[in-house]
Amino acid sequence: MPPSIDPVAFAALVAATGLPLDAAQIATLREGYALVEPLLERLHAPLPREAEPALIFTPEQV
Amino acid sequence: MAPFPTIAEASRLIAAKKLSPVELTEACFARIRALDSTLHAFICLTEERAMADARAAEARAMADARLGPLDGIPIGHKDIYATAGIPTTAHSKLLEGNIPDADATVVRQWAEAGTVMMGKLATHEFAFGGPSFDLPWPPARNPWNPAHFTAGSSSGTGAAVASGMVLGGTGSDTGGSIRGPAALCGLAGIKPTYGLASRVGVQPLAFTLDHTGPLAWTAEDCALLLEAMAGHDPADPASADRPVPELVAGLGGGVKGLRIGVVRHFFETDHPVSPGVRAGIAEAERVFASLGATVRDVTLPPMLDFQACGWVILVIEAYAVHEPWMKTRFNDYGELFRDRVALGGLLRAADYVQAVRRRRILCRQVAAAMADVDLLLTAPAPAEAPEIASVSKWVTLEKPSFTIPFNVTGQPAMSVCTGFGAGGLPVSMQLVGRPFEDALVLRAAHAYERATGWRERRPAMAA
Repeated sequence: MPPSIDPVAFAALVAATGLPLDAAQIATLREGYALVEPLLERLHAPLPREAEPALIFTPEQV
Repeated sequence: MAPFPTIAEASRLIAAKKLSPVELTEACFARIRALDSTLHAFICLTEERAMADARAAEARAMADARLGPLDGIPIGHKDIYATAGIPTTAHSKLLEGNIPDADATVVRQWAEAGTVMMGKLATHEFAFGGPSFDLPWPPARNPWNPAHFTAGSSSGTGAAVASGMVLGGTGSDTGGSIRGPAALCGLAGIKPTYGLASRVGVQPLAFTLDHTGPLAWTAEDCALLLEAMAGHDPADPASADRPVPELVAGLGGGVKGLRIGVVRHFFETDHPVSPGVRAGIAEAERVFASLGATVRDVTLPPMLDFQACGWVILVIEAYAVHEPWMKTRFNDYGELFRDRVALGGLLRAADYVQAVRRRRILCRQVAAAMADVDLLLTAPAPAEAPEIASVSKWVTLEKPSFTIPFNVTGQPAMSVCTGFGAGGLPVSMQLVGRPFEDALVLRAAHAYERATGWRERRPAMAA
């Protein structure tokens, strides 16, 4: 299934990264992005307030 | 007798002065010369050093002064582990000619245990891009059938151990890179609890998911290797400041009274597995029950929840590591690595934050599901090894991974061979423990291996 983002908008998204991709590489990447979109949708389902990031910050560490 | 010994067998023979470390090492090099032009397990050999290591181990053995059970055992290191004075390439053109000044902590620990370092082992590029055919070195191939995939990214370690070129080796596991090759190559491989083994000197892929760990022929061998690499490393910010666990001493404790939860929905509905994998798991359930364990089903969140969380964290962290080179040397990477990681550059900060928020919830949900079971049992891979040419660029996105859930949670997780399926290729199960209960995982795996005969079979090409 193609991604929801159209080729022009996707090329702009890639351009914003500063990566030096040619047109064929951008088209290939868009194929992969189609598989990423459903994962992102799942990831952004509502989370409870207590879902603080699972990253450890300890002030004593250097 | 098997064509090559396990670590434990070799160690007992060396201690009894019935096996010479020098002769064992020479036999491994003979096997490398015979097989590696087909298997491509090694990036480079360190024969001169290995023979010196072996001679020193032999002298200690003859003087009854062995350093421990690994003294004189031939091993290899995945080529993302830094080795002082020895090329460390991550299987990438970008690190061709890279010669570190210092050993990775694990490399040093294994050297201090007396292991004989045979060389550096193939990997997927930077532990993520493979199997690739556009890199300076070819991809490793599966000793059970060289037309087939080893899985990755600890591909060279899987191939080298399965073919007896080394008796054990290091892997790393960010989304399954120890457990995948162990499963497809018919080995034992454990991803320890996050923080149990040092990552210092190991090329990072994704900091919060990266684990170091061993692959070997048996769970007992994995216990021997892991015990030599476990422990607090102040130089690793994620290293757990806990006593080194006794992994070997309790191996024979069996599974009587243990409660094993089968995560059946993972391999029956979330991502249905091959008949061979399913039959192996069914038989493992029967074996554990016959040994006195209680086996029942448990339910975890859907695999896709773990997949979304783990994959997003992985590619964003990997992109952050590689962004400078991605911008300046994009085409020096292999196609698979650069395209997979470039996706990380397209994601947003909010995607990452949501992923690490969901990670906390997933950890809590798995802990709750394990409140009244000691271990989880599920599949580590969907099927027997596919043909190497058939592996898709987007394989990590097309179907949810069986292994990444336990990178997300950081729990100890292990692949254990459960026999052979289609094409005579190995099939495996995955055993998972609570955090820092690595010893229990190894104990259950050892009990299963002792109760079955799968560890006696070796690849035909290695016979």
